[in-house]
Amino acid sequence: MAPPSNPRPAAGRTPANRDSRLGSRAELGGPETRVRGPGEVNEAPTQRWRVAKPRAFPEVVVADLAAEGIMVGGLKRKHSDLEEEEEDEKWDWSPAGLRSYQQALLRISLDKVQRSLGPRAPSLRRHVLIHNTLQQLQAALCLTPAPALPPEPLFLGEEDFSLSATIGSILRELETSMDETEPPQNPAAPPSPQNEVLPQPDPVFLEALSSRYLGDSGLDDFFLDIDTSAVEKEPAVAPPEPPHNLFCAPGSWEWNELDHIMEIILGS
Amino acid sequence: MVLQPAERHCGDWSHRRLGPWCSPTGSPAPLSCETGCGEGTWILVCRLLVPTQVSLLSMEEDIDTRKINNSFLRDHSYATEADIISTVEFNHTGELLATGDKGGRVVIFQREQESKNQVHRRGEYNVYSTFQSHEPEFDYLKSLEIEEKINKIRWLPQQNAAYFLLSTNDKTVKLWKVSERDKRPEGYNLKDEEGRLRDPATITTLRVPVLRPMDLMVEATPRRVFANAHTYHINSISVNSDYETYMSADDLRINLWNFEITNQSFNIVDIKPANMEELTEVITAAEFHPHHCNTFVYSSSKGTIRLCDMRAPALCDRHTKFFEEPEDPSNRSFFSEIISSISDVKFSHSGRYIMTRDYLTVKVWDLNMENRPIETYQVHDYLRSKLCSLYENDCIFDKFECVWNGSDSVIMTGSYNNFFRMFDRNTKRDVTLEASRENSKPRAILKPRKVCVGGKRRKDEISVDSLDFSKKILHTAWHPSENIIAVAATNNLYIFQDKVN
Repeated sequence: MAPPSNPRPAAGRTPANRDSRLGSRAELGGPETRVRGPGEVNEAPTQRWRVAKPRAFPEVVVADLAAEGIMVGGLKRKHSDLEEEEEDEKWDWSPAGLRSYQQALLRISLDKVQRSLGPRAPSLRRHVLIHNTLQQLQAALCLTPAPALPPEPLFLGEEDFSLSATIGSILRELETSMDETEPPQNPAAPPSPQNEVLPQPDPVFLEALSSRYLGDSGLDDFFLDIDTSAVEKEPAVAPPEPPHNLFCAPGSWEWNELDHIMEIILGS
Repeated sequence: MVLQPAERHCGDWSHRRLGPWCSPTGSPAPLSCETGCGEGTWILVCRLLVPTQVSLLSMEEDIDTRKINNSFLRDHSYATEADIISTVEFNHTGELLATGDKGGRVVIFQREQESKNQVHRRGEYNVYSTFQSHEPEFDYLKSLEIEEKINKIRWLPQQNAAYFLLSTNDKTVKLWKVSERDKRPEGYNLKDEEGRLRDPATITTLRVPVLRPMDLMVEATPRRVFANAHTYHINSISVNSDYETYMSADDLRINLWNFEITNQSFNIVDIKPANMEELTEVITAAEFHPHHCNTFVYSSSKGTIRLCDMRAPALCDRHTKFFEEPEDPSNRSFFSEIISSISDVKFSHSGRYIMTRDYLTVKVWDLNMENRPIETYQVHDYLRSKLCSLYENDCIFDKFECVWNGSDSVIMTGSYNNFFRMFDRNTKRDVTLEASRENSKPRAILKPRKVCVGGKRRKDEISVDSLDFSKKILHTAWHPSENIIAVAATNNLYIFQDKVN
């Protein structure tokens, strides 16, 4: 089934959900006065997306894209600035486009996980659902054929595993903090496949992650980094085998690095 | 206990006399076949606003602790958000309607008694009692705040003059007794009229205190506090049909309590994996069977329902029945699991069916058929193409509730833009109504609403992109025997009734 060739322009005013959050900010007072619920972010979605290139998600669920047959459903969104009669961007359903979409979802999901760590005990249900979605995304990212653009495979592979390690450690921190009766999870021997497969610290990724949360570079820059073909990498290598255990052990360098990142995130 | 007056909008009352809509025995009349539920025969009875500044009198007179808690954990502007209604529940006769809110308060409304003079006022609900059920707490061990939001209220059947209800926040369940007092003792020896202690040296005579009538006062006292049994957030409580036990369910465990015993409970379901990293599924709702005190169901975040029999092994990890609908491969997406997560499960009054609510649909299951539901109703399928956006703004995690009417012939659930939907199971008709201030004139007939999903938008329709996702109807309740419904829209409580000519 071919993707729709020209999705209709969005009708009506800007979607109300753009500025709406749980406990609408418009109704209940400004962000600076209200205590946040566990699922809430401190800025409107538009702020984040203003930095990024305007993205249009397809309206129609499209069949047979990824190898897994995982469908991509999404919202055709127009940037508020582009609301007046601008030509909609056609969503690119090439493997690169799909990958970009999946990356975007990955970012959103990771963002959710990290932002929900607040003074209130976060919702376990929400975390589990996001975590499961992240795992699906990760599986899809590993399985989708490598796009024609050179830089992705190796770099993203590392990024994926570091991301999943981050996700895993965040979840684990979360769960040990919520669970008073269980002894802290402390696997004695870190699973060896994990250490063998994971390359040495990827300073580029970690730096990008930290700098992102320190607000130095916008999301846009990060995507630009990935998409640019100017960066020459070695000839495409098949992504490393997904580790048997996606979570890093406390005490390892990943743990310390992620600990450091968490401090930055929570501190900012 | 101080009664807080309800702020109501009572405009002109029409002089239309309400016809009998309920058979003399009190059994509910199904929505008439002439009108059905798709003909806009619902009218607004009243809109109740819970006042922001409620005196925080609670039965524990520990004022200092309360002040410390409040100032530490809340800032001033929080009060507005505290009014958001988080649960609504009629009692077993429908005479009382309880609401819980994010601020930990419970407000109970009582139905206006029918009187000869004002026969049209029957159906109105007035504030009966207000009390602070839960306070915000701080868990110092884990450095986490415990929200005071009331997650659920469940009434106990009435057995004497007093009313009993269970209210719960994330961690603690409380049993409250609500009773009326119309007499008070006077003539104490050791205290004077204002309650100050008298100097014993001044007492020369003794007298017996006598009871004198006073203005009716409704007081709420916490009779039991069931605490420290849940590591995770309590999402459901359910009173057993034996009226001696109840269960409380959190994300991973379900506990069975006896009303008389607060220092222990039985754990009857535990789905916590040995390794938390393997956690992929949580419990989202649980309920006892209305008649069989050994049977209960619980739903999960993966869209499954398990029916358990407590007569089987003590730990009901093994279900007696497992309800799951196979996934439709043509609809599969990254969000499939999230939208399949069940947010509410309710037994029908008959006990023959269960109803589940997931993000986009309501399903009715026959207890005798596990492999698929017998009915599926689309609540707002136009959102299916917007899941990515709804995921981004967290709306996809909203937990909508669903309710049966008294005769199990109509089911109701909420949606966005202050819309709520009713589905008539017999006629297969459905209607979308709106709980909004615009049509808040009392006795105004609710006009059915329609969402335009594409093509030309008609005059009265609203387009999907214009929906306000901050206005969500998560909590609704249906009177047990009459066609009266309560709909919670943020901090407003709307009461509608079916107008039958």
